[in-house]
Amino acid sequence: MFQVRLVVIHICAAVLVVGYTNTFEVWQLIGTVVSRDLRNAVPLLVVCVMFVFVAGFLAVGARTLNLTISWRWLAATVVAVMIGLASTDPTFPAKRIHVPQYFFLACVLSLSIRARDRTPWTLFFVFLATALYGVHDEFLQGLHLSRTFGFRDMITNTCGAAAGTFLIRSLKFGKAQASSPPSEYDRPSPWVFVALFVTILGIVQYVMASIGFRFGLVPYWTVLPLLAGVLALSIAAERCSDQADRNALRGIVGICILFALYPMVINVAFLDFA
Amino acid sequence: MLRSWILPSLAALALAVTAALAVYDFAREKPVNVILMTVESWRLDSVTEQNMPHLVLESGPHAFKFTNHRNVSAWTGPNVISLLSGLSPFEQDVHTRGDSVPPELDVATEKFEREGWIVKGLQAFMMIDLFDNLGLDIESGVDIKHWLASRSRDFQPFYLWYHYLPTHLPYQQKFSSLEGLYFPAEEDAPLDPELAARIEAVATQPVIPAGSVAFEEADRRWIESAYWGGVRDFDEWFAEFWRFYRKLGLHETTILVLTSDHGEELLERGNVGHASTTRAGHLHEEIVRVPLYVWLPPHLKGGLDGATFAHPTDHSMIASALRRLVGLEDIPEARQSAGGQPPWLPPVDRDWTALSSIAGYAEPDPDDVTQFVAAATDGATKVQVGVTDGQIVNVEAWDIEGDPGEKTPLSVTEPAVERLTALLADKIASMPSRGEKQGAASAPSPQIVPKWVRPVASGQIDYDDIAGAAYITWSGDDAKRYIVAYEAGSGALALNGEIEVEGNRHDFGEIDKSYWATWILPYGQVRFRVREAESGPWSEWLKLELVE
Repeated sequence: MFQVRLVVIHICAAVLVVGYTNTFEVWQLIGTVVSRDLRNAVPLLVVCVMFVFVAGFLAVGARTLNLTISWRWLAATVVAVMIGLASTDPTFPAKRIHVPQYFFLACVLSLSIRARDRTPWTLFFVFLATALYGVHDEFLQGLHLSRTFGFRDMITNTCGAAAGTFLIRSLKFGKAQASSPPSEYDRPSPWVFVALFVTILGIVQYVMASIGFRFGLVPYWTVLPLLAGVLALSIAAERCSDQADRNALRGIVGICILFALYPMVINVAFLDFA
Repeated sequence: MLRSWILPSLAALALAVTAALAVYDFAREKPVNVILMTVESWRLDSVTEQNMPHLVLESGPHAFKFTNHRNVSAWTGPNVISLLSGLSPFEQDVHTRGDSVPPELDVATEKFEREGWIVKGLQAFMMIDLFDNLGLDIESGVDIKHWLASRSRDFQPFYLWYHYLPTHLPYQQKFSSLEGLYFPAEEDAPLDPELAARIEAVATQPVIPAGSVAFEEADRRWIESAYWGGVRDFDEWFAEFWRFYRKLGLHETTILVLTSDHGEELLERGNVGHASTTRAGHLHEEIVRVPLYVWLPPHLKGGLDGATFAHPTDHSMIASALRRLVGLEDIPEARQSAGGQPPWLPPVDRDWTALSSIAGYAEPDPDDVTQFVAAATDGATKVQVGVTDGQIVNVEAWDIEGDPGEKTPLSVTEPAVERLTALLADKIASMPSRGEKQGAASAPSPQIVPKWVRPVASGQIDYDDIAGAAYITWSGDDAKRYIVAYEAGSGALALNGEIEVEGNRHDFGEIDKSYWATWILPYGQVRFRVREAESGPWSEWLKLELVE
């Protein structure tokens, strides 16, 4: 059941990301119906609606669901949203929509692991998975005929992912979720974090290399360090004792393996990577 | 112990496949592309820091620069053909419009094409018969940047010839700096009407036949400024091209050759222009000394990032140099260690020679070109001869080291002069005889007279009529060959000739608005008639008045 839930949620997440890649067309459509100023305000309106929804949920949940709120993490949520909005290029107000998009994606991905099974590290792994989907979003845009790949947008996506994760972290549902992990919790081995670090380094290197090869063919070697880290992470993840952590790491591994496809698609189909 | 092998197996598979592809990509032979960029009428002494800051300070220092390079004729056709084919004008049999390299000659660009290069031109004017039989595939109307962007991701190598045209007469500076340039001013007093007319001629006419404008020595200053303005425009255009070229990564895979078809006279002999525009062609230094820059991909540079060479080179050497660079031709053993000079373009091992018809493209009768000018130099002495009906009729010579302006003639009896004159005589005698052209029609037979289909009748045409679709078509069997005769302009700006066409349509390619306004509109009118090539009556003249 764990695996089915994990796979289904990640499939939903992948579909969401593909949808996010194509929201620019919706943006352009909106621009034909309303004024430019109103259109530019749409992402901020979505953020406001998101705030209202969350506030309403918290208010209702506090009374009916035995919801405990960690105000520290809630404040971190707000800060992450603000940083995300501020990180966007002011000349492209449409980019602000990335914040609520990845906020929502983080909330969806947090459902891949049941709340009662989460460990202190689970939500961190979920945050990483969401941020990695944000990197995929930019790579898909790089292949899209009328979009471009942007490092700045990855930062914005990561802020949105952080905001969503912080919100989930700030909520505790009554007695259903233990306030601390069970005493038999076996934290991931240091090798998991070493492999994770290598993987993240590999991603950063891959992103930087892709920026360098913009308008050309992204060579195959650029993704090799990342894949080496992913192989190590996949082995370390399978040796993880805790199932929630193991599944969260499996999600990261699956997302990272997909990065191997971009150089293949670009080099075989001679797609513009821009 | 691993709980599941699925993801580790997938990760290992992804790593293995990608690593194998990376090794294959690294190890495979990457083709080297070639871009031959020629700049119309670009003379060597215009390359200064003030006129060409980008070339002199940014891109040029990374190039192999050849400061003693010469072209081989006084007009575009034979020079470009020499660059592409390696043939000298004495071998080409191309002396005016309507001529082309004999199809039986196997030229360098055809060899590139056979070896798998895409040999391409992107400009409409390249569709004229001058550039036939060179293996060039012309795709007119395609923007060079779009074409290069799509080719940069391809595995098939390309050889692109691009000709920068706006430096041709009329001199029209559009966007570069005016600093240091001189333009006669009108603020204090109206310009002398004759001066104003001369300025107007240089600014608007694509040709200025010798004697049609009475230039004065004092005009040189503003004429040079007007010319340099166009050169400055080119420098800015090239700067943008350079940035795009590097952004695409083409500098890693492409040999870029930048040179000129020929130089330009700026009143040194009383005229402005070159053979095709003055109709008084010559081969003095201002026409034959041209820049040459070669940028190489890193693996061909031999550790050097830019160098300057002063040894003599000329246009007919470029084709072989390119073939050596891409590995299609071996470097002769004697040249392997060329004393510091690049083995792919060593010093020319013979005296430089050049040949031109007097009026170049604009010869009054393309079927009867009898007057030529030829020149030769051994580096110290230069000889220029006039040729009529295959015979040398006059000889001039100069010490070009001591007298680069060629103002003080040497005695024609000097040994070096006599040797070079004899060399030219041999070269002229070795030229292929100009075969009989398909000129006069045989007696017309009572056959169908072609009728014009597009345009259907004489009248006015403007740019909108030809934008995206510049062609003429007529009734008749599209499997036959036809002769289209044309007459354009009048007076000093008159041009006529015949074009042989396969089928009943002739395409002029995609003509942009700037080209239309600058080089076509000044003719004012053009008329065409057509008949079957074998025999047959001419059609009615189709008279077209050219309007903006």
